[in-house]
Amino acid sequence: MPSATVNDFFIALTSDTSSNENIEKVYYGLSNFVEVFDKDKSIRLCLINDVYPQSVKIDLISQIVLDCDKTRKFLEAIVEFNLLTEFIDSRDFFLKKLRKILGRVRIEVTTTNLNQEEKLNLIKSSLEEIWGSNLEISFKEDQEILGGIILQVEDKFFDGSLIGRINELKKINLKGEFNV
Amino acid sequence: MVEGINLIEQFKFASQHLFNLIVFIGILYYFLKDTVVNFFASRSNRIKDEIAEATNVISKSQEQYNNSSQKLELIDSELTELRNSLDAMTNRKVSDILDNANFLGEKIKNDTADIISLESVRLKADIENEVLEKAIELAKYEIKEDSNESKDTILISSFLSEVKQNAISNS
Repeated sequence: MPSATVNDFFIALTSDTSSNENIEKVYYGLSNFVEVFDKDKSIRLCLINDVYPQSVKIDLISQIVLDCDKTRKFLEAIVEFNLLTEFIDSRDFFLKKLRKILGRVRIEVTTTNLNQEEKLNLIKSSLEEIWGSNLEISFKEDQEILGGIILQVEDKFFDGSLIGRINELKKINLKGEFNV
Repeated sequence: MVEGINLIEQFKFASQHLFNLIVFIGILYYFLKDTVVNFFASRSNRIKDEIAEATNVISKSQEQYNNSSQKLELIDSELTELRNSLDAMTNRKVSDILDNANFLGEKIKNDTADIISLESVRLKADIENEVLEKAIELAKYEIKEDSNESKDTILISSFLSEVKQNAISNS
């Protein structure tokens, strides 16, 4: 007998949620859950381990997802059908789907210094010019890139860092296009 | 006169003895003729038989000698053939071994040349990469020393403009 998949529950969740505001709530609820899951090792171990009973997992989920009933019910159903691992494995895919429904673009910006407010504002405004105002921007500091910026826009990767350009030179040399 | 009597006496004496001898011989001939004849006849036959047997032995020996000679000739020819065959096989084997040795020698020579060539290419690439790594390390150090916030902002602005141009051209 075919059983339900995570995608079936997800379709039910999104079709049940009519307004953008509710989808927004679902999205933030799921994002919050995923963030907590990724950060807290004890929660992660409890949720993916079959040793713990479903009731414990559902209690834990209800403590994490406080402000969105639909998200909580969705996650509870996932746990009841033993599909939590599948959902966790493809969490980015479902979050991306929700962002697509919301018309939102997630951008992860990597730069060398996050203390320069002026620079961050310049980056934000430039990104809004390119991908619109409905953006979910997160900043990350990495001194190893030496300078410039790296953008991860959903599935696309834009490397404008100095280390990226240096690595390009390395690749050129591996192809034998110039001799040292 | 006395000498004449003696001579007659002597002659008479000799004649009597000669007669006795003849009589004796006659008696001997009469009684021993058959025996002697038979003896010599049987001896003659025995000698004939022995000669015949000897002839037979000689002919058999000759025949055996001929057979042996033939066999020896046959063995000799077989030996010669075998020796020739062995010589031919040995020559062929030696030729094969020499060919193989030459082929292997040539192959080892070519392989060694290839290995040396590849090793030299690899070493050259290693050295190039080493030099490049050092150059990159130096460049990184120089960039770190030289970079400041204003340059970084210019770099970021330039890159974002480039991304924007690409986004416009793609859309």
